[in-house]
Amino acid sequence: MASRLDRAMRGRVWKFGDSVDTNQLAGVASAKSMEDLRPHCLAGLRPEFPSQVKPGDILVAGTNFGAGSSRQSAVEVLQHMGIQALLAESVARIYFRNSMALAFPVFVAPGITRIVDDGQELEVDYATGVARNPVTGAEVRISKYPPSVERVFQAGGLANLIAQRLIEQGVNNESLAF
Amino acid sequence: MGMTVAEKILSRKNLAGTPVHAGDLIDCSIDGIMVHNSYRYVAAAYRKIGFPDGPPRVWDSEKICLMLEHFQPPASELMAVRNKEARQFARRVGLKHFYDTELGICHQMMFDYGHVRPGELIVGTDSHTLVYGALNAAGTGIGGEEAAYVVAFGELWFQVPETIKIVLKGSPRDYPMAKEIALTLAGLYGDDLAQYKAIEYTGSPIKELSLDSRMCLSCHGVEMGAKFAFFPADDVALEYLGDRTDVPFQVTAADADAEYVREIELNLDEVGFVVARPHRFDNVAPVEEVAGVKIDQALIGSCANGRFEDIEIAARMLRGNKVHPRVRFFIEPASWTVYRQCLDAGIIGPLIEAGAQLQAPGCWVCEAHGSVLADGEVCITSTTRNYRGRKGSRMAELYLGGPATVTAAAIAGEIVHPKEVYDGF
Repeated sequence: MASRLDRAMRGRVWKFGDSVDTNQLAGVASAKSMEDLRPHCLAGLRPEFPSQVKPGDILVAGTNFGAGSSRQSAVEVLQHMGIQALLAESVARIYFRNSMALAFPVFVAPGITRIVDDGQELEVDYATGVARNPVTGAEVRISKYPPSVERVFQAGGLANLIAQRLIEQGVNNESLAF
Repeated sequence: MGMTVAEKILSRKNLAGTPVHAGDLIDCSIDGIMVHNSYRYVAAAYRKIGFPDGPPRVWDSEKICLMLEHFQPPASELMAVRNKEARQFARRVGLKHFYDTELGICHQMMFDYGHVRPGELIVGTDSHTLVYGALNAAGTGIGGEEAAYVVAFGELWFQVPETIKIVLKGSPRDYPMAKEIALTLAGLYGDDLAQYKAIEYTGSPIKELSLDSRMCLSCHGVEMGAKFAFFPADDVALEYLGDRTDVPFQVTAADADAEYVREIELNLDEVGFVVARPHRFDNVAPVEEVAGVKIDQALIGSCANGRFEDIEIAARMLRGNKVHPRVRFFIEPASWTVYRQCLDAGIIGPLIEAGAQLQAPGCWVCEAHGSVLADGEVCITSTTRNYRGRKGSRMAELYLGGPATVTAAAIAGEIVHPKEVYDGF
C-alpha cells in the first residue's frame, strides 16, 4: 500500500540490529504471494515478529538495512503487514530505491537507535523532518526525499507515474480510460 | 575540477546534457537493461495500472536483455508459469535479446554475448549488476518497479555517487584470490564501506588480474554497499571484448585530479586465505581461526566465483585427491561458455573422477531453491552471500571462502588452510 508523507505518524517500535538482509525479509523461494512470505518475515531474527506485528507499527534498525538482493518483495511484505515506516541508521541502496518506487516511507535517521527502545512509541513527522520519542522527548533528524521522489509518493507509487507518462504518449488502456 | 569514472559516464548520460558531479540528482538515458526472472515484478507493475499482459510498449527492443536463467529449468510449476509469462512478453514486443532456454547466469551471459561495453550505463533487476564494472561499465541493480519504468522509457534518475579509490599493491598469486581481496576489504572496513558510492579499483597488480578476478571484485561491490565498481578498460579488458561487440563504446578513465571521498590501499602480499563466518559478509577471519569446522556441503559457482579460474583451481587441487565421502561438493559453471572452457582444458573428467558433482550452468548453487541445507548443516561456499537462510534452513551455517579454500574443505571434510591438502600454495 502506498503511503502519504503529509501526515505525522505515531506507532509502536520494533527494533532490529545492523545489516538486516533481504533474505530475512523475503527469503522464501517458493512464495506465491505476500501471505506466503509473511510468516517468515524477520522470523530468523525475532520469531515472534510475524504473529505479533500490527498495522501501524514502525520498524527501527541499525546500519545497512535491506542489504542484499534487488527483490522488491522485501519492501512489499512490510507494506503488506501494515508497517507505517522504517527508520534506520542507514539503508542499503537498492532497498532504499525500491521503497521509494513503492511509496513506502523509509528514512535515514542517524542516532535513531539511541533514542527509542523496542516496544516504545515513536512519532515521525516528515513535514518538520523529525522523529521523536514522546516519552523521553529525545528526537533526531530524518532524511528528506528530493522533490522528484515526493512526486512518486504523491502519485501513489512509480507505477502510476508510468501510467501517466504512457497516457501522455498516447498509450492507453480500457481501465485507465474511465 | 577533474572527474571520476562515475562522473564522466553519468555526465554523458545526463538527459539535461550538462556535466555532473557527486551529489547531483539527474535523469539519465540508459544504454541497456538486463531483466531475469524478476520480470514478474515488471509484469505486476503493469497489472497495477491496467495492463494485464505486461508492458504495452518498450523503449527499444534491442536494448532489453531478458533472460529466464534463474528459473531454467523450472523447478516448480510456479517458475514455469512465470517463465511462460515472460516468454509471451518477449515475443509480443519482439525483443532481440531474449535468452529463453539457455542455462547460465544472466551476468555471465551478458559478458559472453557482448552486451557489456566500457563506458555504458547498464541497469539490471539483480543486485550483482555491478559486475559489469569489470569491463569499465556503470552497472547497477534496480528493483522491478524501476525496471518497469526503464523498459517503457529508457530513462532513470540517479544521484551521482562519490567515489572510493581502492589502490591495490603487491602481486597477485598463481591462484584466483579475488574473493580473498573482497572479503579482506569487507572485514577491514565493513559491509557498508561503499554505501551509495562508486568504487574505482586501481594499482599496478590490476594488469595481472584476469577478467574472471575483476568480475568477482566488481560483483562483490554490492556486498560493500556500492552503486558501481569500476576497473579500467585496459588491454586485458579490450582483448576480452575482442569481436564480442560491434557497437562503438567509450573507454572511460578518471582525470588525474578527480576528487575521491576516500582512498584505501591494500597490499596483496598481505592478503591471505580468509573466510566470512555466518551470517555476514564482513564477519571475516583468517582461515586458521575457523580450521576444524566440519562441513556437509561445499559449493563453487555464482556470478562471484563460477568462472574458469575458480573451477580450474579446484581441478588442480583435486589432482591426486578425492572429495571427502561425507561432503557434497557441487560445482556449477557460470555459463556454457565457461563450461566449454573447462571441457577444452580437460578438467571436467578429472573433477568427476575425484568426486565433484558437476552441475549444469546456472544460479542454483547461490539460491535458496538449489542445494538446500537442513537444520544444523554446515556449508562452505564461494558464492555471493552467507546470509541466514540463504541456502534453505535458517539453522544452517554458511561460510564464504575463495575457490581454493572451498576445495580444501571439500577434500578434508572440514575447513582447513588450503596448503594442508595442496602443496602448491
